[in-house]
Amino acid sequence: MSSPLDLRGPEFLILYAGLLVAAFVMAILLRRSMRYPIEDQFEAGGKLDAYELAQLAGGRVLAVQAALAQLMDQGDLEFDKATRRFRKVARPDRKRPEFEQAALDSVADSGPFHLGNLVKALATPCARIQEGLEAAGLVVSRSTDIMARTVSSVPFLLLLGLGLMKIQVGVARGKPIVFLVMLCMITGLIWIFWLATRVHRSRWGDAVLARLRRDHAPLKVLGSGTAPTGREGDLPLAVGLFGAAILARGPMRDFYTAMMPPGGSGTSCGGSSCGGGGGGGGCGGGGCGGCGG
Amino acid sequence: MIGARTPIGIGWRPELALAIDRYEPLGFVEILAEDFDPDRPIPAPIARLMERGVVVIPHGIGLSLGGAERVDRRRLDHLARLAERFRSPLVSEHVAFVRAGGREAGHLLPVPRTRESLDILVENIGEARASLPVPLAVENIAALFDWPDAEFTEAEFLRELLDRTGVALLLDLANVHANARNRGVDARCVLDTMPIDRIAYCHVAGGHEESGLYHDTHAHPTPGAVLELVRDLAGRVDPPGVMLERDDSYPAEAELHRELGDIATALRAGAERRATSHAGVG
Repeated sequence: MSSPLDLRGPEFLILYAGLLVAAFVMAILLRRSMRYPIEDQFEAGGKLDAYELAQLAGGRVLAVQAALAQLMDQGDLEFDKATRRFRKVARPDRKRPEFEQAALDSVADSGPFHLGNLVKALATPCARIQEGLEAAGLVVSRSTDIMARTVSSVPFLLLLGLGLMKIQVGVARGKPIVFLVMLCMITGLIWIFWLATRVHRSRWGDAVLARLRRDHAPLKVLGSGTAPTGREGDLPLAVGLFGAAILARGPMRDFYTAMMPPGGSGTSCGGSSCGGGGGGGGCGGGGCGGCGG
Repeated sequence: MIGARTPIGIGWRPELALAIDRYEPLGFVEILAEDFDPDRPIPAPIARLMERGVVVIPHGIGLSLGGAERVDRRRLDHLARLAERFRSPLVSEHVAFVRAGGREAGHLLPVPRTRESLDILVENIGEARASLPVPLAVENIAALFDWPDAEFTEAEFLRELLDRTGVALLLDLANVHANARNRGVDARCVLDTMPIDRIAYCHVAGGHEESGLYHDTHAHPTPGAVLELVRDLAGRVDPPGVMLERDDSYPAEAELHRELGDIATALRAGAERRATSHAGVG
C-alpha cells in the first residue's frame, strides 16, 4: 500500500479535505465525551438561582447581564441611552441577592457603560458562582477543561503534521505547494481556536439546562414590548435561560443595544468564559493544484 | 364535550403564556387556528399545558361558513390537522362570513337571518363536518348592524342552525351582551331564548363604549354585566367551559388570574342557585 505522501497533488488535497472533516467530527466527539460528569452524581440537581443559572448557560457575561436587567426592572438602575450611563436610584431598604448587590455596587456613576469592565469588576462573585457550579457537577473543572481541549485538538495536530510532511516532500520534488500551505495554515488556525475555546458545561450541566429551558419556556415572553411583566425574579431567570436577546424588543432595548459590540451579532455570550462543548471555527476547502506527488 | 378537568379556560396568546402557565385551575385553552402550523412542533408553553391535562381547542376565524362561496378545503384541512396535532376534542368557528367576491373583509361579518342564508350555512357546515375528525361548535358574533328583512331572531336562527346541522354552540356571552346593549334590549331576556342546551363552551370578554356603541374589544376587563350573564347561565345549565378572551392591552399576571377567578366565582354562584332551585322543585 502506497503512502499518502506519495499521492499526486490534487489527490492529496482531496484526501486532506476529507481528513479535515473527519478530524472535526472526531474532535467534537472527543470533546463531548470528556465533559464530565455526564449524570447527576451530586445532590444539587436543579436548585440554582437566576445568576447561577445565567452563568451556567452563558458564563460570567450572561450572569452580569441578568443582574443588570433585574436591577433596571426593579427600578434600582436607570439607563441613559444618550450618555450610555447608568444612574443609581436604588432604594436602600430593598433586599437584594448577593450577586445583584455586587453588580449594583460595581456600576459606576460616571463613565460610559462598558460590559467588559463590569464583568471584570465582578470577577470575585463570579468566581464564587463558578465554584458552586463546579461542586454541583454542572460545569467542568479546570483540569477537565484543559484535558478536554488538549486531547480533542489532537486530530487537527495529527492532520497538520501530515500536511507539513507532504509540504516537505513537495519542496524536495520541486512541486507547487501553495494550496497545501494554505490548507495547513487554516488547519493551524483551527487547532489554535479549538485549544483556546474553553469547555464550560459538563454533559450533566447540558441536561439540567435543557430541562430548565423546557420547564420555564413561558418565560421567553418576558422582555418583549407587549407581554405583561412577570413576578420579581422572573426577568433575570428569563435572561439566564434564553439570553439577553430577549430584551432586544422591549423597554430595555436601549440597554441591550448598548451591550452589543459595534456591528455585533446580538449574542449574549462573550469571551472565553462562555459556552458549552462542541463546535469550532470554520475551515476552508482546498483548491486543486499541486503539492507533492 | 370538552372533557376539561375544570370549566375555566382562556384564549392562549404568546404574550400571556407565562400568566396562563401559572394559573393552576386551568381546564382548557383556545388557540387561534390561523396562527399555528400543524407541521411545526407544538410551542413549548402549550406542550407543557397539555402535559398537565389542559385541553386545547383550535378556533378558526377564516372558514367563512356564512359565505356564498364554498368552504376553502385548505383551511378545512388545516383545522382538521390542528385538531389531530393538539388532540383536541372539538374545533370551533363562527356564524359569519369574512370574504366575498375575492375580497377579504378582515372582520367577522353577520349573515342575514334568512332561510337562504341558513341553507348556505347548513351546506357549508355539512361540508366542514364531513372533513373534520372532531365535532364542530359555531359561535354567535357581535355585530354592529343587522341586515334588514330578518326572518328569525338571532336565537331562533341559531337554534334552527344547530337543529339542522347537529353542531354545538360556542356561546359568546360578551357578544350577547354587546348586541343586546347596542339594540337596547335586556341581555338576560336574550339569553332566555338562546339554545343553551347545546353549549360546547362559552366565551367572555371585555369591551368599551365609544360614540354610543359598545365594542367587544377583547382589550378591557370583563364587565360585571357579562359576569352576571355567566351567573345566569350557570343558574340554568352546567356550562362545560367558560373562557376569557383577551387579545390586547394584556394585564399583569395577578389581574388576569383575578379575572379568571371572577369567572369561576360566577359559575359557582350560578351552580348554587341552580342547586337551590332544583331542591325547591324537588
